[in-house]
Amino acid sequence: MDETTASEKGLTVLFGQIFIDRFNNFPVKDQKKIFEFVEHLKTKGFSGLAGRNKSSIDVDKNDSDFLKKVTYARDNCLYHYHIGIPYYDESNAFGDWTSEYILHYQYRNGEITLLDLDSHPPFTLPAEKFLI
Amino acid sequence: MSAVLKQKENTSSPFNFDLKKMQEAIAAPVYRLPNNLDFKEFQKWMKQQQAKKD
Repeated sequence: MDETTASEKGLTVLFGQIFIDRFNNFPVKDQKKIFEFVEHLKTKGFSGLAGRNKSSIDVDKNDSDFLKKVTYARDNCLYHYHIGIPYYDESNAFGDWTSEYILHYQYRNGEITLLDLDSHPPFTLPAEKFLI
Repeated sequence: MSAVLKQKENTSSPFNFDLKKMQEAIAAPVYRLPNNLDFKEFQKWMKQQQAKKD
């Protein structure tokens, strides 16, 4: 994550078609958490987020498809954020809280495109059909 | 004869397309969120975007 370019300012937020389709079927409490994340990005950028926010190139080194997944994540500018669904594990410091569900997104040129909400483990990268 | 040829030249071929424009047209749609929406408006906007596709 290149936080030096975006940590102190708001970001443009975009949505992929599949994400929009799925969003409308999420429980309202989950929709609210996504909305809060989006609002945070638009006003404060990455600064001060509660959950763990990281690049998706950080693939398990024991993964048999390690190189393939790293390349895929890097080439498509993939990141993910621990959104706090269903709740946050607050064992770590604020800003590094984790949750079962994560939001996959693409981040490039100061713009974020939300792609999918997914549970983990196991961690899986969004399929090509989600990508912009 | 020349009139026929001229007419043919002016007729656009089905194979004479702009590949870049075509790729843009079939690319996955992406939606830019408007500013200053509250949660209810956000929900409504998301439903509207889905309805556009359907």
